[in-house]
Amino acid sequence: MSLDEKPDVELVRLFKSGDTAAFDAIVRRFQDRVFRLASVWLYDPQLAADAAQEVFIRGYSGLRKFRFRAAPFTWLYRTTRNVCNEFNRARQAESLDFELPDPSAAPEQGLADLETARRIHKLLAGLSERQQEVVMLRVFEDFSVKETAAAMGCREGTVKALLHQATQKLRTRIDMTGWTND
Amino acid sequence: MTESIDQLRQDYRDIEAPAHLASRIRANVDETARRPHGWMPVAATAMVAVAALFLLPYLGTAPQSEPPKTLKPSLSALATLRPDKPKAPAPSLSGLRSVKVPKLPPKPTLTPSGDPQPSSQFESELMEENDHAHS
Repeated sequence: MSLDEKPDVELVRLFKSGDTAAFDAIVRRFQDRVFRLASVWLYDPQLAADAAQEVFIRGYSGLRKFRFRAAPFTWLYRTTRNVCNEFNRARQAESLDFELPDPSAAPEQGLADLETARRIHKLLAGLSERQQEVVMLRVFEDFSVKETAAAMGCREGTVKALLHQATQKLRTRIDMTGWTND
Repeated sequence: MTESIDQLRQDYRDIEAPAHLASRIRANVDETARRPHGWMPVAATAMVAVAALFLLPYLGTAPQSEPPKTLKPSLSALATLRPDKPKAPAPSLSGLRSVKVPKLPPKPTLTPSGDPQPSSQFESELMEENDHAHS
């Protein structure tokens, strides 16, 4: 079985035992998911790439101490959340009148990604922070209710309730903004 | 879940990390791993040791070369000082009870004539002398 076929936990176990190739496999497996999350939270592809890089650099030392109490991606998700919060704070401190990146400067694929990230970001802006988190994990990242609860540090019932409220709000916002995929 | 949310989710999943991201991460991780972290405490220890070696000769001579200073005691230090007083023996209550005091003479009582009755031999003699003097 090649490294790319091994389960997440096994990859982390190999990396902990000193196999650096296992770390490369972890990056290959999770880079898109980490980048997507960062794109929505930072709505800037360049900054999202920087944030994803920072997440994996922290993962290089952090995953060596991983205790397998949760799924490895839950650890990466939390780190991504923290890194994006730090990036947003730093950006706000640098310039209060922050402008969204110019979409015309991005390549074609980057443009589509940026547009999607901005749409999701705008839709989520009407939700509370917890509701946003539950939507990102449960709806977009396909976490189970149990995994979402573990990632958010709350009960499964809370996840269900938050998801119900968040979905209703999202529907209303989509209807109001007339969002279509064109 | 509405169709719009499903569509949004599909668009979200189409987002891909830039092609160079993995190699960028690899390069940065390699640099971080290569960067020696252990030299800082070693350097700090060495600097302290060198400084101590330089200061060592001066440490022994420093008190001799300095002129004697008059010590100024601080007020707080003075406040803590207690003069050594000889302790006066404090009499105990039980000791006081055991001290024997001579009995007081009985109270003088009036005689039927209204004169006070002599209470002692000395007083009766004195009274007789007075009577003689008046008579």
